[in-house]
Amino acid sequence: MNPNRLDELNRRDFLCRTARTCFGLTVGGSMARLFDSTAFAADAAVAQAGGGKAKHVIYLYMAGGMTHIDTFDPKPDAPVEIRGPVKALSTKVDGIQLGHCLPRLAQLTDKVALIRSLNTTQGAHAQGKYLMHTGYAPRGTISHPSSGSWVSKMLPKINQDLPPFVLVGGANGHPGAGFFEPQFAPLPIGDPTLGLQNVKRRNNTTDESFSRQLELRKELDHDFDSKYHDTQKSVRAYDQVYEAAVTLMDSKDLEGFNLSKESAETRAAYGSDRFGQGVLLARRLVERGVRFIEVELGGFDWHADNFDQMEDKIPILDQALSALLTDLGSRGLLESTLVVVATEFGRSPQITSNAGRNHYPKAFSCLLAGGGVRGGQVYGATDKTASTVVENGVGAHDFNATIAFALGIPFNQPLMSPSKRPFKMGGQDGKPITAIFG
Amino acid sequence: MEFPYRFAILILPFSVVLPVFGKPLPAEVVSQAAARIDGLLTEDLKRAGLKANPLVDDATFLRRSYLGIIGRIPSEKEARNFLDDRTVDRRAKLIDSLVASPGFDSHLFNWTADLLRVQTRQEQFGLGWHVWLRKSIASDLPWNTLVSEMLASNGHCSSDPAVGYYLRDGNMLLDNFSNTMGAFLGRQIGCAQCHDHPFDTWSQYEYYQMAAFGGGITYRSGEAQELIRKTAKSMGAPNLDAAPTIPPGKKMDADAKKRMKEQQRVTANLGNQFRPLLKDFNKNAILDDPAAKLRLPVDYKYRDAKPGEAVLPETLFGEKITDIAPENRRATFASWVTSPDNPYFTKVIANRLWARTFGRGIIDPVDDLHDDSVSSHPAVLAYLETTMKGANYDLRQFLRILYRTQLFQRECLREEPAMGEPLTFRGPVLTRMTAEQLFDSFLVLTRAEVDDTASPAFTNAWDTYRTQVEGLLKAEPHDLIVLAESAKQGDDLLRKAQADQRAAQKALGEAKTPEARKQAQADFQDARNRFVESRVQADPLGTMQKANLGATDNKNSPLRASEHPAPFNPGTLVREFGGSDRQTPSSGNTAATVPQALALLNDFKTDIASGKKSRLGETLAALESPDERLDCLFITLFSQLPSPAEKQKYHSLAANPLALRDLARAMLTSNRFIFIQ
Repeated sequence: MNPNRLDELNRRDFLCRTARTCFGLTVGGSMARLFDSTAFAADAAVAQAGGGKAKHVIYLYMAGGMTHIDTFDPKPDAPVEIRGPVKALSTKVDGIQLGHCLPRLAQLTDKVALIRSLNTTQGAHAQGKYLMHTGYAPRGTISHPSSGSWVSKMLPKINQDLPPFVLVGGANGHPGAGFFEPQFAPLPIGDPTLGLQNVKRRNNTTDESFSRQLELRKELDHDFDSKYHDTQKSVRAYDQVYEAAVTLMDSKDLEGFNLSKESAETRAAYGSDRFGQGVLLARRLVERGVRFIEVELGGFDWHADNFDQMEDKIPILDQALSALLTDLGSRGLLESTLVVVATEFGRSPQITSNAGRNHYPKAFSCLLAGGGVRGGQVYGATDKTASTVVENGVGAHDFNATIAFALGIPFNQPLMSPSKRPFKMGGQDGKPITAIFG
Repeated sequence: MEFPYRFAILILPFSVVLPVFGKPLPAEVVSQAAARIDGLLTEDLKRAGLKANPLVDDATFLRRSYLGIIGRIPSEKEARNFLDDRTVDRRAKLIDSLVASPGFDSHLFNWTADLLRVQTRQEQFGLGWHVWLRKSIASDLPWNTLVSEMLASNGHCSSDPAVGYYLRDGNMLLDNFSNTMGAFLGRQIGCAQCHDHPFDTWSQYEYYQMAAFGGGITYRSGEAQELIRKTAKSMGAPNLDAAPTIPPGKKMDADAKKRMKEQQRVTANLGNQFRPLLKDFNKNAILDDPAAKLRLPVDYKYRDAKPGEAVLPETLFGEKITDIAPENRRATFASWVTSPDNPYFTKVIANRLWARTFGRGIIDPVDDLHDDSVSSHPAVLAYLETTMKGANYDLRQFLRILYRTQLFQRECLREEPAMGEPLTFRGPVLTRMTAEQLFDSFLVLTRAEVDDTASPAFTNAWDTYRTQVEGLLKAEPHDLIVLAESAKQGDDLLRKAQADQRAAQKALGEAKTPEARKQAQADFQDARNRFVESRVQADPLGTMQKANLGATDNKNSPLRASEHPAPFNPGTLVREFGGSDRQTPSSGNTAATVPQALALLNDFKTDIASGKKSRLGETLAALESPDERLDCLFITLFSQLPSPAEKQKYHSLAANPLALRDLARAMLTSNRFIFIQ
């Protein structure tokens, strides 16, 4: 056996035993209440450090690896074979510059914290996406929950009818609820402009008919469920989603999914593309008490024609993000909503012969705003060519610990997997970036 | 058959001393190989102190066989045919007939295309690769040949459609090689792309040595270059056939230099002139350049080599191959990967097909094997490898053997297998229908009988494209010049129209008054019209035009999921139920979501038995007695007759059309329907 793997197993075993003896816990059910936001916000140290103010998260995920050097971490003084044709924009905050495709965001830098020192060791899409979402590198032995599922699990629901975690435009391969029970999995919305489909009973169906159908469903499954319900999570998951679906159908908050309730101006402000509309949907869901809304924008993997592609794609983010920050601000929701822009890795500073940039996990950038985060700041830094982190390095686990901290979730509180291994929202040893709060 | 040969088969099906069999395999070879697998499993169970699960009843077997082998539920007629069959060997007969049927091809294609991430609409090569793969599977192209043809592919997709395998990841050679290692050899080397592998023994340098087998790949078309050369020659450009040779030790003389300069000038000019006409060529071809080499990244940080240094190909494990002639790099790689002596190739495909059949790999996960991977059935896996080789990598015959095992007939495991722990197979794992199985089963529910054969539409579209490309490749130089001129003019107009569209869009976003909005919309429409017109001119032979492959969400289509362009669009039934997005290998999943429940509860498209408008509703209405209606409903949805208790319980419902409809709806939403026991 490979010595490294042996170490890994021993370490897990050790943690397992430690966790059982020190914490003696299997968290869930009534125990979960110990960790709800009010309980934790009372933690004076966290509150004093500015954490625990956020109640919601809008998590914008740039799938494919967003180029850092052309967006959040421009290097106007780097040689042309590094910086390419990108110009750096001066922004509302002196000393903070952005790539030229982000003119709207440039007017709002007083509201955001740029994290320019992300770095991981996962240079492939699936693995990088998994790490950023879960705080753990993928392993064949466990499926880790994503940050949205952690939030759903650790905080009580605000709206009892709506699912706590909604994923808009997500590609396959999202880690979802991982080893958590199925009710912590995201509710997926494919096309935000269509909203949540099929929420109305078929028009030829009476109340009586519908309840009869639901009863018959249970009855038909009686034998099947008695065999498999208790032992198979996938079977429980189906019973659970039918229950959730019926609750949703009766909810008065369903209109949260209906973008046509928004004015034409508001819809146009976010951008007419799916992503912009998805971000607007996220705002509507925050207003109705959904805890965590993730909106995915794909197509950042520019191994060729980086600078042409950039001109088409980055403005989509610029418009939606800026509209969101402004909108949340004017509705008084920015203090209670953490806005996150994340991606799996950056792009190589060296431009390829196809005018592209390759995967680059060694240094990249993300953004945090609202939810108690102090605006107008940059945390961490890379060197002259955006190649190496030279100050305040941040890992995916630290990043997720920071999200937890903003919400007042104990980032280092272990929960046990069904295989009795402890996992935390902040990954193995993530530390929140407390310096950006307050 | 001579005695000693037959004898050998009886004693040792697929032992190493036997020759490779032809296809289909002789019946006795299949049944003995299946028995051998069961025998080895029994020994393992005995050692573990466990008992195999009992065999399932005919109805469960029927449903499992249809869904597992051909990817859909049986029609009422098919179900009744089997349930009425009282012959002793009915189960074996059903398996053999399903394995040989076209439904098998459709179902296996979905699985393979998900593994390979085939996207039908990617440029033109996507369609070609799709059609090639679909045909290769239907014609039983051995797996080692299929993989080898992809890995060694070269040139334009019109002549070598397997080249889609590389074009799928155009300009992403490193990712392509990571996926190759995962898909065919079950090794995860992706980490070493950026740094030394933390858990395995591979260094970043070794990763680059592996990827260096593709170091000659350039994403451009040699065919396009040849066209330009041909035209240049016809225009009298001097001596374009060969570069002037320079005698050793001598400098090129002035005359030769001049000729070479002239050559370069003419080709460059023509290249520019031809670019619009041939621009699609470079997106649909790869060209091996023997002089090209893979280089280490500029931030390479280990001491064993310098950043930016060229890396020579070398194998990571198995047979050590070094010193490879540049022009042989990929051929060497293809034969190393697919060699029966490769320690992983055969094991991985055997294990993957086992997982497909029984719900989980003997080694699991199936794409992350190590030298020290543990399994609870090492002898079975070893025998599966021998079987795969003996069956000459014929996936149909290999699967036929798996389906003919007793294991395939056993009751499912009650408990969910724990992740990361080797599973002892007392029975198969309970699985949910894949999205494609559900889609294809809906066809059965709404149409009664399903045509499982391949639709000719894609093949026809592909043949049309090939003919067009061939026409272009064979065109006379003076025709080429006319075509190129047309394309260039069209291209200029196209660019202008695109720029105008963008400007109008921008103006629309910034419009403050209704008049300004209106004007911007009108400008956009005008630019859009010009765009459509000029696109035709820019593409005089139609080689850049995408074939109309139909919408993926056409609810009236009689075609199975495999005959639709992939991936299905987000929001379609297939994607809602976890159908692959064709982004990462085997990304299809079966997780439950609320929108799935909503779709089956409320979507009118899933309302299979509502009134006389639906096929099932009509059939039910035509039946005389409530008992007949119940039978029909249970057979259609659950592939079994109602139990006596169910008959009694639902008798009164069956007398009332509305109540019966509610029962049908409830059945469709039941776990019994969507899970495969």
